[in-house]
Amino acid sequence: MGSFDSFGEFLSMGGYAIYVWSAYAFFVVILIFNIWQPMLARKKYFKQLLKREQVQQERAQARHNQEEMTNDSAS
Amino acid sequence: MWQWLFKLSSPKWFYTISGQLMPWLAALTTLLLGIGLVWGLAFTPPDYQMGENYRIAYIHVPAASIAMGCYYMMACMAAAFLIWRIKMADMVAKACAPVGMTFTALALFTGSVWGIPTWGTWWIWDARLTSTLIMLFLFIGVMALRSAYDSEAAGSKACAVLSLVGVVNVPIIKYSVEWWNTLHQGASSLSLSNTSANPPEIWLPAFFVGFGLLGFYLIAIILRTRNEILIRERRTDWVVDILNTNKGFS
Amino acid sequence: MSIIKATLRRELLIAFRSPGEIINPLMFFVIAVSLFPLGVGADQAFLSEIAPGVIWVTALLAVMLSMDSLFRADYEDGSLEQLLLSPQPLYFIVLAKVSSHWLVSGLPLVILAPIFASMLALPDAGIIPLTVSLLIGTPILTMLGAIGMALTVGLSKSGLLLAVLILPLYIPVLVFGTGVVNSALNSLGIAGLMALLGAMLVLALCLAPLAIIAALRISVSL
Repeated sequence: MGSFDSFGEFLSMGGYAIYVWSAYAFFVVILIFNIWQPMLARKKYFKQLLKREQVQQERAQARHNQEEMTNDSAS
Repeated sequence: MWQWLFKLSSPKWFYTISGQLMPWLAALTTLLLGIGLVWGLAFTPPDYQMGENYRIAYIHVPAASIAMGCYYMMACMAAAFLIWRIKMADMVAKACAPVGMTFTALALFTGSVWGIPTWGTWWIWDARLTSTLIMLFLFIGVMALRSAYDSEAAGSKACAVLSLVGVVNVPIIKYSVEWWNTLHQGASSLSLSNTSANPPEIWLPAFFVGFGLLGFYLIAIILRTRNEILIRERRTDWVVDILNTNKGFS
Repeated sequence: MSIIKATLRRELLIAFRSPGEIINPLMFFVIAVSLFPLGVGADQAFLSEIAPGVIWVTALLAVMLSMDSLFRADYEDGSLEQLLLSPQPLYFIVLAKVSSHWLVSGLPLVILAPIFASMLALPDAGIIPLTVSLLIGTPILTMLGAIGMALTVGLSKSGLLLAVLILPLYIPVLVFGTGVVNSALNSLGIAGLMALLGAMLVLALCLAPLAIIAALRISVSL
Protein backbone atom coordinates (compact mmCIF):
# COMPACT_ATOMS: atom_id res chain seq x y z
CA MET A 1 0.00 0.00 0.00
CA GLY A 2 1.31 3.40 -1.02
CA SER A 3 4.86 4.03 -0.02
CA PHE A 4 4.99 0.92 2.19
CA ASP A 5 5.63 -2.61 0.93
CA SER A 6 3.51 -4.41 3.50
CA PHE A 7 1.04 -3.70 6.25
CA GLY A 8 3.62 -4.73 8.83
CA GLU A 9 6.00 -2.13 7.47
CA PHE A 10 3.23 0.45 7.61
CA LEU A 11 2.71 -0.35 11.29
CA SER A 12 6.41 -0.17 12.07
CA MET A 13 6.75 3.28 10.36
CA GLY A 14 10.38 2.71 9.55
CA GLY A 15 11.25 2.33 13.23
CA TYR A 16 9.32 5.43 14.27
CA ALA A 17 6.17 3.47 15.17
CA ILE A 18 6.00 4.53 18.81
CA TYR A 19 6.35 8.23 17.96
CA VAL A 20 4.03 8.36 14.96
CA TRP A 21 1.34 6.14 16.45
CA SER A 22 1.36 7.77 19.88
CA ALA A 23 1.00 11.19 18.23
CA TYR A 24 -1.91 9.95 16.13
CA ALA A 25 -3.43 8.19 19.13
CA PHE A 26 -3.38 11.42 21.11
CA PHE A 27 -4.88 13.16 18.09
CA VAL A 28 -7.78 10.69 18.11
CA VAL A 29 -8.18 11.09 21.88
CA ILE A 30 -8.46 14.88 21.49
CA LEU A 31 -10.99 14.49 18.66
CA ILE A 32 -13.12 12.09 20.66
CA PHE A 33 -12.91 14.24 23.78
CA ASN A 34 -14.09 17.32 21.92
CA ILE A 35 -17.17 15.51 20.63
CA TRP A 36 -17.89 13.31 23.64
CA GLN A 37 -17.63 15.98 26.32
CA PRO A 38 -20.26 18.39 24.91
CA MET A 39 -22.53 15.44 24.07
CA LEU A 40 -22.24 14.18 27.64
CA ALA A 41 -22.88 17.67 29.01
CA ARG A 42 -26.01 17.91 26.87
CA LYS A 43 -27.28 14.56 28.11
CA LYS A 44 -26.54 15.48 31.72
CA TYR A 45 -28.36 18.78 31.29
CA PHE A 46 -31.46 17.09 29.91
CA LYS A 47 -31.38 14.53 32.70
CA GLN A 48 -31.04 17.28 35.27
CA LEU A 49 -34.05 19.11 33.82
CA LEU A 50 -36.08 15.91 33.86
CA LYS A 51 -35.15 15.29 37.47
CA ARG A 52 -36.00 18.85 38.45
CA GLU A 53 -39.39 18.50 36.82
CA GLN A 54 -40.04 15.20 38.59
CA VAL A 55 -39.12 16.72 41.94
CA GLN A 56 -41.45 19.62 41.25
CA GLN A 57 -44.24 17.26 40.32
CA GLU A 58 -43.68 15.19 43.44
CA ARG A 59 -43.74 18.31 45.57
CA ALA A 60 -46.93 19.49 43.93
CA GLN A 61 -48.44 16.06 44.50
CA ALA A 62 -47.37 16.07 48.15
CA ARG A 63 -48.77 19.55 48.65
CA HIS A 64 -51.98 18.45 47.03
CA ASN A 65 -52.23 15.37 49.27
CA GLN A 66 -51.54 17.44 52.36
CA GLU A 67 -54.24 19.92 51.41
CA GLU A 68 -56.70 17.10 50.98
CA MET A 69 -55.77 15.67 54.35
CA THR A 70 -56.22 19.00 56.12
CA ASN A 71 -59.51 19.45 54.33
CA ASP A 72 -60.62 15.97 55.46
CA SER A 73 -59.68 16.57 59.07
CA ALA A 74 -61.33 19.99 59.02
CA SER A 75 -64.60 18.56 57.84
CA MET B 1 -23.68 38.09 4.00
CA TRP B 2 -24.06 40.76 6.66
CA GLN B 3 -27.63 39.80 7.22
CA TRP B 4 -26.57 36.20 7.64
CA LEU B 5 -23.99 37.18 10.22
CA PHE B 6 -26.53 39.37 11.93
CA LYS B 7 -28.92 36.44 12.11
CA LEU B 8 -26.21 34.28 13.66
CA SER B 9 -25.98 36.72 16.55
CA SER B 10 -29.43 35.66 17.64
CA PRO B 11 -29.27 32.48 19.72
CA LYS B 12 -32.36 31.04 18.10
CA TRP B 13 -31.01 31.49 14.59
CA PHE B 14 -27.59 30.23 15.58
CA TYR B 15 -29.17 27.12 17.04
CA THR B 16 -31.31 26.49 13.96
CA ILE B 17 -28.66 27.28 11.36
CA SER B 18 -25.93 25.32 13.15
CA GLY B 19 -28.32 22.40 13.52
CA GLN B 20 -28.97 22.37 9.77
CA LEU B 21 -25.31 22.88 8.94
CA MET B 22 -24.02 20.18 11.26
CA PRO B 23 -24.60 17.04 9.12
CA TRP B 24 -22.94 18.66 6.10
CA LEU B 25 -20.05 19.92 8.17
CA ALA B 26 -19.62 16.51 9.80
CA ALA B 27 -19.65 14.73 6.43
CA LEU B 28 -17.18 17.18 4.90
CA THR B 29 -14.90 16.95 7.92
CA THR B 30 -14.91 13.16 7.91
CA LEU B 31 -14.17 13.13 4.18
CA LEU B 32 -11.32 15.64 4.38
CA LEU B 33 -9.76 14.10 7.49
CA GLY B 34 -10.14 10.60 6.04
CA ILE B 35 -8.46 11.47 2.76
CA GLY B 36 -5.76 13.56 4.40
CA LEU B 37 -4.86 11.07 7.11
CA VAL B 38 -4.77 8.00 4.88
CA TRP B 39 -2.82 9.88 2.25
CA GLY B 40 -0.42 11.40 4.75
CA LEU B 41 0.10 8.19 6.72
CA ALA B 42 0.38 5.66 3.95
CA PHE B 43 0.89 7.17 0.52
CA THR B 44 3.39 10.00 0.75
CA PRO B 45 7.04 9.01 0.34
CA PRO B 46 9.23 9.14 3.48
CA ASP B 47 11.29 12.25 4.13
CA TYR B 48 14.95 11.82 3.19
CA GLN B 49 16.09 13.29 6.53
CA MET B 50 13.45 12.41 9.07
CA GLY B 51 12.19 9.14 7.60
CA GLU B 52 8.62 8.25 8.49
CA ASN B 53 8.65 10.39 11.61
CA TYR B 54 7.73 13.52 9.64
CA ARG B 55 4.19 12.11 9.25
CA ILE B 56 3.47 13.60 12.68
CA ALA B 57 3.68 17.02 11.03
CA TYR B 58 0.41 16.33 9.20
CA ILE B 59 -1.47 16.67 12.48
CA HIS B 60 0.97 18.88 14.36
CA VAL B 61 1.04 21.85 12.00
CA PRO B 62 -2.76 22.16 11.51
CA ALA B 63 -3.35 21.70 15.25
CA ALA B 64 -0.88 24.44 16.11
CA SER B 65 -2.26 26.93 13.60
CA ILE B 66 -5.87 26.24 14.59
CA ALA B 67 -4.99 26.64 18.27
CA MET B 68 -3.47 30.01 17.49
CA GLY B 69 -6.45 31.01 15.34
CA CYS B 70 -8.70 29.93 18.19
CA TYR B 71 -7.09 32.47 20.48
CA TYR B 72 -7.67 35.25 17.97
CA MET B 73 -11.24 34.08 17.45
CA MET B 74 -11.82 34.14 21.20
CA ALA B 75 -10.47 37.69 21.34
CA CYS B 76 -12.66 38.82 18.41
CA MET B 77 -15.69 37.33 20.11
CA ALA B 78 -14.66 39.05 23.35
CA ALA B 79 -14.45 42.38 21.51
CA ALA B 80 -17.85 41.82 19.86
CA PHE B 81 -19.29 40.99 23.26
CA LEU B 82 -17.82 44.05 24.98
CA ILE B 83 -18.59 46.52 22.18
CA TRP B 84 -21.97 45.40 20.86
CA ARG B 85 -23.11 43.32 23.86
CA ILE B 86 -23.79 40.33 21.60
CA LYS B 87 -24.65 37.45 23.91
CA MET B 88 -23.88 34.90 21.20
CA ALA B 89 -20.32 36.20 20.92
CA ASP B 90 -19.70 35.44 24.57
CA MET B 91 -21.14 31.95 24.25
CA VAL B 92 -18.77 31.26 21.34
CA ALA B 93 -15.87 32.77 23.31
CA LYS B 94 -16.68 30.49 26.21
CA ALA B 95 -16.59 27.49 23.86
CA CYS B 96 -13.27 28.64 22.37
CA ALA B 97 -11.27 28.32 25.60
CA PRO B 98 -11.53 24.55 26.23
CA VAL B 99 -11.37 23.68 22.52
CA GLY B 100 -8.34 25.91 22.02
CA MET B 101 -6.72 24.41 25.07
CA THR B 102 -7.09 20.85 23.79
CA PHE B 103 -5.74 21.85 20.36
CA THR B 104 -2.77 23.56 22.01
CA ALA B 105 -2.16 20.46 24.09
CA LEU B 106 -2.34 18.37 20.92
CA ALA B 107 0.18 20.62 19.17
CA LEU B 108 2.52 20.42 22.17
CA PHE B 109 2.22 16.67 22.52
CA THR B 110 2.77 15.91 18.85
CA GLY B 111 5.64 18.40 18.72
CA SER B 112 7.32 16.77 21.71
CA VAL B 113 6.87 13.26 20.34
CA TRP B 114 8.25 14.40 16.99
CA GLY B 115 11.20 15.93 18.83
CA ILE B 116 12.32 12.72 20.60
CA PRO B 117 13.93 11.09 17.55
CA THR B 118 14.64 14.40 15.79
CA TRP B 119 16.23 16.45 18.55
CA GLY B 120 17.00 13.57 20.91
CA THR B 121 14.81 15.07 23.64
CA TRP B 122 11.10 15.52 24.06
CA TRP B 123 11.38 19.12 25.13
CA ILE B 124 13.68 21.89 24.05
CA TRP B 125 13.15 25.57 24.74
CA ASP B 126 12.55 26.21 21.09
CA ALA B 127 10.77 29.45 20.22
CA ARG B 128 7.74 27.70 18.79
CA LEU B 129 7.40 25.19 21.62
CA THR B 130 7.84 27.89 24.22
CA SER B 131 5.30 30.28 22.75
CA THR B 132 2.83 27.42 22.30
CA LEU B 133 3.32 26.53 25.96
CA ILE B 134 2.60 30.14 26.90
CA MET B 135 -0.56 30.05 24.78
CA LEU B 136 -1.65 27.00 26.76
CA PHE B 137 -1.16 29.05 29.94
CA LEU B 138 -3.25 31.88 28.47
CA PHE B 139 -6.12 29.52 27.66
CA ILE B 140 -5.92 28.01 31.14
CA GLY B 141 -5.95 31.50 32.65
CA VAL B 142 -9.14 32.45 30.82
CA MET B 143 -10.83 29.23 31.89
CA ALA B 144 -9.68 29.65 35.50
CA LEU B 145 -11.00 33.22 35.60
CA ARG B 146 -14.41 32.20 34.24
CA SER B 147 -14.78 29.38 36.71
CA ALA B 148 -13.77 31.66 39.61
CA TYR B 149 -16.73 33.95 38.99
CA ASP B 150 -20.06 32.83 40.40
CA SER B 151 -21.97 35.35 38.33
CA GLU B 152 -22.22 34.34 34.68
CA ALA B 153 -22.52 37.93 33.41
CA ALA B 154 -19.56 39.27 35.37
CA GLY B 155 -17.41 36.26 34.50
CA SER B 156 -18.15 36.76 30.81
CA LYS B 157 -17.09 40.39 30.88
CA ALA B 158 -13.98 39.64 32.94
CA CYS B 159 -12.94 36.91 30.50
CA ALA B 160 -13.55 39.27 27.59
CA VAL B 161 -11.23 41.88 29.12
CA LEU B 162 -8.59 39.25 29.84
CA SER B 163 -8.81 37.83 26.31
CA LEU B 164 -8.31 41.29 24.83
CA VAL B 165 -5.37 42.03 27.12
CA GLY B 166 -3.96 38.65 26.10
CA VAL B 167 -4.35 39.24 22.39
CA VAL B 168 -2.41 42.52 22.59
CA ASN B 169 0.30 40.51 24.33
CA VAL B 170 0.40 37.49 22.03
CA PRO B 171 2.49 39.14 19.27
CA ILE B 172 4.80 40.70 21.88
CA ILE B 173 5.23 37.35 23.63
CA LYS B 174 5.89 35.63 20.31
CA TYR B 175 8.44 38.22 19.27
CA SER B 176 10.18 38.20 22.65
CA VAL B 177 10.37 34.42 22.76
CA GLU B 178 11.79 34.29 19.24
CA TRP B 179 14.39 36.91 20.09
CA TRP B 180 15.22 35.11 23.35
CA ASN B 181 15.60 31.84 21.48
CA THR B 182 18.06 33.22 18.95
CA LEU B 183 20.06 34.75 21.80
CA HIS B 184 20.36 31.52 23.75
CA GLN B 185 20.66 28.98 20.96
CA GLY B 186 20.70 28.92 17.20
CA ALA B 187 17.28 28.57 15.62
CA SER B 188 16.57 24.90 15.07
CA SER B 189 17.49 23.99 11.53
CA LEU B 190 15.23 20.93 11.65
CA SER B 191 12.08 22.92 12.17
CA LEU B 192 8.73 21.56 11.10
CA SER B 193 8.21 24.74 9.11
CA ASN B 194 10.97 23.74 6.74
CA THR B 195 8.54 21.44 4.96
CA SER B 196 7.85 24.31 2.55
CA ALA B 197 10.85 23.20 0.55
CA ASN B 198 9.17 19.86 -0.13
CA PRO B 199 7.30 18.81 -3.31
CA PRO B 200 3.49 19.09 -3.46
CA GLU B 201 2.81 15.39 -2.86
CA ILE B 202 4.38 15.89 0.57
CA TRP B 203 2.43 18.94 1.67
CA LEU B 204 -0.86 18.42 -0.18
CA PRO B 205 -2.21 15.92 2.40
CA ALA B 206 -1.54 18.57 5.04
CA PHE B 207 -4.10 20.78 3.32
CA PHE B 208 -6.71 18.04 3.54
CA VAL B 209 -5.95 17.40 7.20
CA GLY B 210 -5.79 21.15 7.84
CA PHE B 211 -9.22 21.89 6.39
CA GLY B 212 -10.61 18.73 7.93
CA LEU B 213 -9.33 19.76 11.33
CA LEU B 214 -10.74 23.24 10.77
CA GLY B 215 -14.12 21.65 10.12
CA PHE B 216 -13.72 19.57 13.24
CA TYR B 217 -12.82 22.66 15.22
CA LEU B 218 -16.00 24.38 14.04
CA ILE B 219 -18.03 21.31 15.02
CA ALA B 220 -16.48 21.27 18.48
CA ILE B 221 -17.19 24.99 18.94
CA ILE B 222 -20.76 24.62 17.66
CA LEU B 223 -21.52 21.66 19.94
CA ARG B 224 -20.41 23.57 23.03
CA THR B 225 -22.13 26.76 21.93
CA ARG B 226 -25.41 24.92 21.35
CA ASN B 227 -25.26 23.51 24.88
CA GLU B 228 -24.59 26.98 26.21
CA ILE B 229 -27.59 28.36 24.31
CA LEU B 230 -29.86 25.71 25.81
CA ILE B 231 -28.62 26.56 29.29
CA ARG B 232 -28.68 30.35 29.07
CA GLU B 233 -31.90 30.68 27.07
CA ARG B 234 -33.76 27.99 28.98
CA ARG B 235 -36.58 30.38 29.85
CA THR B 236 -37.40 31.36 26.28
CA ASP B 237 -40.33 29.61 24.60
CA TRP B 238 -38.39 28.09 21.72
CA VAL B 239 -35.81 26.52 24.05
CA VAL B 240 -38.55 25.21 26.35
CA ASP B 241 -40.04 23.50 23.28
CA ILE B 242 -36.70 21.91 22.40
CA LEU B 243 -36.13 20.83 25.98
CA ASN B 244 -39.60 19.30 26.23
CA THR B 245 -39.17 17.26 23.06
CA ASN B 246 -35.67 16.10 24.00
CA LYS B 247 -35.52 15.31 27.66
CA GLY B 248 -37.79 12.33 27.49
CA PHE B 249 -35.57 10.08 25.41
CA SER B 250 -32.05 11.20 26.13
CA MET C 1 -3.92 67.39 36.56
CA SER C 2 -4.70 68.32 40.14
CA ILE C 3 -6.61 65.05 40.42
CA ILE C 4 -3.38 63.15 39.73
CA LYS C 5 -1.63 65.06 42.46
CA ALA C 6 -4.47 64.54 44.91
CA THR C 7 -4.70 60.81 44.22
CA LEU C 8 -0.95 60.40 44.47
CA ARG C 9 -0.86 62.25 47.78
CA ARG C 10 -3.74 60.22 49.18
CA GLU C 11 -2.28 56.87 48.12
CA LEU C 12 1.20 57.65 49.37
CA LEU C 13 -0.18 58.87 52.67
CA ILE C 14 -2.15 55.64 53.11
CA ALA C 15 0.90 53.59 52.17
CA PHE C 16 3.19 55.32 54.63
CA ARG C 17 0.67 54.92 57.43
CA SER C 18 0.94 51.14 57.15
CA PRO C 19 4.63 50.59 56.36
CA GLY C 20 4.20 46.82 56.51
CA GLU C 21 2.75 46.83 53.03
CA ILE C 22 5.79 48.63 51.68
CA ILE C 23 8.29 46.49 53.53
CA ASN C 24 6.80 43.05 52.94
CA PRO C 25 7.40 42.83 49.15
CA LEU C 26 10.87 44.16 49.77
CA MET C 27 11.51 41.54 52.44
CA PHE C 28 10.21 38.85 50.11
CA PHE C 29 12.65 40.03 47.45
CA VAL C 30 15.59 40.12 49.85
CA ILE C 31 14.89 36.71 51.38
CA ALA C 32 14.03 34.98 48.12
CA VAL C 33 17.22 36.25 46.47
CA SER C 34 19.32 35.02 49.37
CA LEU C 35 17.72 31.59 49.12
CA PHE C 36 19.27 31.02 45.70
CA PRO C 37 22.91 30.71 46.76
CA LEU C 38 21.75 28.36 49.51
CA GLY C 39 19.93 26.26 46.94
CA VAL C 40 22.39 26.18 44.08
CA GLY C 41 25.71 26.54 45.90
CA ALA C 42 28.03 29.46 46.47
CA ASP C 43 30.16 29.03 43.35
CA GLN C 44 30.82 32.63 42.25
CA ALA C 45 31.08 31.86 38.55
CA PHE C 46 27.75 30.03 38.49
CA LEU C 47 26.04 32.66 40.62
CA SER C 48 27.19 35.46 38.35
CA GLU C 49 25.74 33.57 35.41
CA ILE C 50 22.29 33.18 36.95
CA ALA C 51 22.25 36.54 38.76
CA PRO C 52 20.29 38.56 36.13
CA GLY C 53 17.63 35.87 35.92
CA VAL C 54 17.38 35.42 39.67
CA ILE C 55 17.06 39.15 40.35
CA TRP C 56 14.52 39.62 37.56
CA VAL C 57 12.35 36.62 38.42
CA THR C 58 12.35 37.48 42.12
CA ALA C 59 11.52 41.12 41.43
CA LEU C 60 8.71 39.98 39.14
CA LEU C 61 7.26 37.73 41.83
CA ALA C 62 7.63 40.44 44.47
CA VAL C 63 5.73 42.92 42.28
CA MET C 64 3.02 40.34 41.67
CA LEU C 65 2.68 39.52 45.36
CA SER C 66 2.49 43.20 46.25
CA MET C 67 -0.50 43.69 43.92
CA ASP C 68 -2.95 42.43 46.51
CA SER C 69 -2.81 45.70 48.44
CA LEU C 70 -3.55 47.79 45.33
CA PHE C 71 -7.35 47.62 45.16
CA ARG C 72 -8.26 45.25 48.00
CA ALA C 73 -8.75 47.79 50.81
CA ASP C 74 -10.56 50.26 48.53
CA TYR C 75 -12.83 47.48 47.33
CA GLU C 76 -13.68 46.36 50.83
CA ASP C 77 -14.48 49.79 52.25
CA GLY C 78 -16.43 50.89 49.19
CA SER C 79 -14.18 53.76 48.15
CA LEU C 80 -13.50 51.98 44.86
CA GLU C 81 -17.14 52.44 43.95
CA GLN C 82 -16.93 56.12 44.83
CA LEU C 83 -13.83 56.40 42.71
CA LEU C 84 -15.56 54.90 39.68
CA LEU C 85 -18.52 57.22 40.14
CA SER C 86 -16.41 60.35 40.46
CA PRO C 87 -16.75 62.97 37.69
CA GLN C 88 -12.97 63.24 37.32
CA PRO C 89 -11.25 61.51 34.41
CA LEU C 90 -10.91 57.92 35.57
CA TYR C 91 -7.98 57.24 33.31
CA PHE C 92 -5.76 59.64 35.25
CA ILE C 93 -7.04 58.55 38.65
CA VAL C 94 -6.20 54.94 37.87
CA LEU C 95 -2.85 55.93 36.41
CA ALA C 96 -2.02 57.90 39.55
CA LYS C 97 -3.16 55.06 41.79
CA VAL C 98 -1.05 52.48 40.00
CA SER C 99 1.93 54.84 39.81
CA SER C 100 1.83 55.49 43.52
CA HIS C 101 1.70 51.75 44.10
CA TRP C 102 4.81 51.39 41.99
CA LEU C 103 6.52 54.18 43.92
CA VAL C 104 6.11 52.29 47.18
CA SER C 105 6.50 48.69 45.95
CA GLY C 106 8.53 48.77 42.73
CA LEU C 107 10.95 51.64 43.23
CA PRO C 108 12.44 50.26 46.50
CA LEU C 109 13.14 46.99 44.68
CA VAL C 110 14.95 48.86 41.92
CA ILE C 111 17.04 50.70 44.52
CA LEU C 112 17.92 47.51 46.42
CA ALA C 113 18.58 45.39 43.33
CA PRO C 114 22.18 46.55 42.66
CA ILE C 115 23.25 45.53 46.17
CA PHE C 116 21.83 42.05 45.80
CA ALA C 117 23.09 41.72 42.27
CA SER C 118 26.64 42.29 43.41
CA MET C 119 26.06 39.87 46.29
CA LEU C 120 25.22 37.34 43.59
CA ALA C 121 28.56 38.19 41.95
CA LEU C 122 27.06 39.97 38.96
CA PRO C 123 30.00 41.65 37.17
CA ASP C 124 30.13 45.44 37.49
CA ALA C 125 29.34 45.89 33.79
CA GLY C 126 25.89 44.41 34.43
CA ILE C 127 24.88 46.41 37.50
CA ILE C 128 23.76 49.63 35.83
CA PRO C 129 21.96 47.90 32.92
CA LEU C 130 20.17 45.70 35.46
CA THR C 131 19.06 48.68 37.51
CA VAL C 132 17.91 50.67 34.49
CA SER C 133 16.09 47.67 33.00
CA LEU C 134 14.31 47.15 36.34
CA LEU C 135 13.50 50.85 36.47
CA ILE C 136 11.76 50.64 33.09
CA GLY C 137 10.46 47.10 33.52
CA THR C 138 8.85 47.08 36.97
CA PRO C 139 6.27 49.78 36.08
CA ILE C 140 5.13 47.53 33.22
CA LEU C 141 4.83 44.65 35.67
CA THR C 142 2.80 46.84 38.03
CA MET C 143 0.51 47.96 35.18
CA LEU C 144 -0.15 44.40 34.00
CA GLY C 145 -0.52 43.16 37.55
CA ALA C 146 -3.08 45.89 38.20
CA ILE C 147 -5.20 44.53 35.34
CA GLY C 148 -5.14 41.07 36.88
CA MET C 149 -5.83 42.47 40.33
CA ALA C 150 -8.75 44.55 39.05
CA LEU C 151 -10.22 41.42 37.48
CA THR C 152 -9.94 39.36 40.65
CA VAL C 153 -10.47 41.91 43.43
CA GLY C 154 -14.13 40.96 43.81
CA LEU C 155 -13.37 37.26 44.17
CA SER C 156 -12.82 35.66 47.55
CA LYS C 157 -10.17 33.19 46.33
CA SER C 158 -8.01 35.36 44.14
CA GLY C 159 -4.45 34.75 45.38
CA LEU C 160 -3.21 32.04 43.04
CA LEU C 161 -5.65 32.94 40.28
CA LEU C 162 -3.83 36.27 39.91
CA ALA C 163 -0.58 34.39 39.30
CA VAL C 164 -2.18 32.16 36.66
CA LEU C 165 -3.63 35.18 34.87
CA ILE C 166 -0.69 37.55 34.77
CA LEU C 167 2.51 35.50 34.91
CA PRO C 168 2.21 34.54 31.22
CA LEU C 169 1.80 38.23 30.39
CA TYR C 170 5.02 39.02 32.29
CA ILE C 171 7.14 36.91 29.96
CA PRO C 172 8.16 39.60 27.43
CA VAL C 173 9.27 41.96 30.20
CA LEU C 174 11.34 39.19 31.77
CA VAL C 175 12.88 38.21 28.44
CA PHE C 176 13.90 41.73 27.46
CA GLY C 177 14.86 42.72 31.00
CA THR C 178 17.32 39.87 31.43
CA GLY C 179 18.29 40.32 27.78
CA VAL C 180 19.51 43.84 28.53
CA VAL C 181 21.78 42.57 31.31
CA ASN C 182 23.11 39.62 29.34
CA SER C 183 23.80 41.79 26.30
CA ALA C 184 25.66 44.26 28.48
CA LEU C 185 27.74 41.44 30.00
CA ASN C 186 28.63 40.18 26.52
CA SER C 187 29.44 43.78 25.52
CA LEU C 188 26.68 43.89 22.92
CA GLY C 189 24.58 46.97 22.34
CA ILE C 190 21.70 47.40 24.76
CA ALA C 191 20.08 50.51 23.30
CA GLY C 192 17.70 48.51 21.11
CA LEU C 193 16.45 46.33 23.96
CA MET C 194 16.09 49.34 26.24
CA ALA C 195 14.04 51.01 23.51
CA LEU C 196 11.83 47.91 23.28
CA LEU C 197 11.31 47.94 27.04
CA GLY C 198 10.54 51.64 26.83
CA ALA C 199 8.04 51.04 24.03
CA MET C 200 6.36 48.37 26.15
CA LEU C 201 6.19 50.81 29.06
CA VAL C 202 4.55 53.46 26.86
CA LEU C 203 2.10 50.88 25.51
CA ALA C 204 1.28 49.73 29.03
CA LEU C 205 0.81 53.31 30.25
CA CYS C 206 -1.57 54.04 27.36
CA LEU C 207 -3.65 50.87 27.27
CA ALA C 208 -3.45 49.22 30.70
CA PRO C 209 -5.53 51.92 32.51
CA LEU C 210 -8.36 51.31 30.03
CA ALA C 211 -8.33 47.59 30.82
CA ILE C 212 -8.05 48.32 34.54
CA ILE C 213 -11.09 50.63 34.43
CA ALA C 214 -13.13 48.06 32.51
CA ALA C 215 -12.10 45.33 34.95
CA LEU C 216 -12.85 47.46 38.02
CA ARG C 217 -16.33 48.23 36.68
CA ILE C 218 -16.98 44.48 36.43
CA SER C 219 -15.62 43.77 39.91
CA VAL C 220 -17.60 46.59 41.51
CA SER C 221 -20.85 45.41 39.91
CA LEU C 222 -20.53 41.97 41.54
